[in-house]
Amino acid sequence: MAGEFTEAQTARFLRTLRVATQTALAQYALSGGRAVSRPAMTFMALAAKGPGEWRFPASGLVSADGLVVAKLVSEASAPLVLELQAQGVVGLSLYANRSARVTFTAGHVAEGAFDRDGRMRLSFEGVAIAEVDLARFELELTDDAS
Amino acid sequence: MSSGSAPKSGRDIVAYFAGHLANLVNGNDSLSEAEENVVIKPFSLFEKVHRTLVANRKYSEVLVGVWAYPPPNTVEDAADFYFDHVIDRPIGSRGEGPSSADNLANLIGSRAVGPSPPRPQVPLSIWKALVGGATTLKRFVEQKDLFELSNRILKCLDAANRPYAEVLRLGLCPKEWLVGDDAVGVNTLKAANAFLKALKSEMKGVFGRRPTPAELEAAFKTAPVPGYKEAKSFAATLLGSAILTRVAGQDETFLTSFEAVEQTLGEQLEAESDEPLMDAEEAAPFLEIAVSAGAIEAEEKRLLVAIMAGRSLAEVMGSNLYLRRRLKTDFGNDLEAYINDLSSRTARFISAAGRARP
Repeated sequence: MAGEFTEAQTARFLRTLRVATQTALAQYALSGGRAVSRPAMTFMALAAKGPGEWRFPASGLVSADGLVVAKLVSEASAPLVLELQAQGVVGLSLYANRSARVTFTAGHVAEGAFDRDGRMRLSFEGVAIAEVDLARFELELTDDAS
Repeated sequence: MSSGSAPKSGRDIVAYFAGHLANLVNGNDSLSEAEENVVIKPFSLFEKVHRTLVANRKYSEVLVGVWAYPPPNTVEDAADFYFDHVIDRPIGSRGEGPSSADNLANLIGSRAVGPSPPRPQVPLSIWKALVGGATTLKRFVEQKDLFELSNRILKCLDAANRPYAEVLRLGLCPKEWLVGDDAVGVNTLKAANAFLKALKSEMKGVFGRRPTPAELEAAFKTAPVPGYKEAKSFAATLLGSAILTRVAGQDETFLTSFEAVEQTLGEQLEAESDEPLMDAEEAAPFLEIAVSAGAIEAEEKRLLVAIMAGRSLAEVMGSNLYLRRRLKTDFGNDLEAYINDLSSRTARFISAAGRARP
């Protein structure tokens, strides 16, 4: 059956398959599975599971697109605060003055807004959440860009 | 979204990166479908590409190979170097005709809205082909047009990425072997990789030691490096010595990374295809054979046909219960893993069928 195709046709098919599937995947990732809006952006720590208690890295976690850095502010007797800072001109132009939602793997959802400097602070006051619960979360803009 | 976690072969990553660049150039990360034109802003595009190379582990590990850069280099340094020596590497033509970068520039030029500045008569890089022309482009709205943009970027990447990937495949740092006094040409790098492959075979998987003289000679006999009469003389060079030091090292990263990087180098059969991409109708008979042989399911064939016909993944998956069940049951809702698996299964089958041709 396969003998009915020439080598050149097979090469064209393989090339088409590779280009079409990977371009479609890249497009899907950039659009978050939706037609036009921006996707939820993932923050994921490496080796969050280990023999010892996992600690949020002092250098912060970088979003998968590299446009936001999340740092955990932890002070004695104060509730944990997750601070997200947009990076660079592209990060600022995308996130400054925008409302956003952060969804943590433990199921907790927090909403807030980036200020004009591209910073958003989420306080966990009254929320039972451990550092390990912050090893992976997603950031999603909730308003329309205008 | 699954893009951060799905396993991906090296070959897929190069094509994915080409697709990623095509989508960024087309403004698919920020513009709505209704917007007809995209304004190319070089600095903004550079920042998006650079940050993605730094932050996306698929890129930083396999494409950029940050593991090969010794301290004090950071992932930022590695991404900088990758940008300068792959994405902005001038691509020469292989004969009289235009280079792959010229073809990319021509495609970009064909979408220009308004006047375009004249391009300098020098070999173009991927970057200069993308941003060196008109600042406003008519967007690649039709999916087949976006595929063609992605295809042309991929052809450029296949050429521009080659020397870089060959150095990584040796387990060495591109910054040390692609520039400066010790820079090595791509043909020597290819030959050195063939030698290394033969040597690994002779060493029968027992690494973390120096190969014996007999293993070295046997490997050299199988895959000689041009310019050297015997293994001993090649092993005495800076490059040969660096390769043997890597093989003798205890760091498994440098050994396990060879295979992933090897896959970033395009298959000969496919790389030689300069024909236009197929449309869904032309591809369907290949997929039909894969279904008949049990390599893929009938519903999976429909999925691939739909992708090639330009329907979005979200739309196709949303309208097919079988595919959604399969995605959930076998791939933990990781769409990227599923599509990669499906694409690999199909490609393996068609390649094998092609090789079996009398």
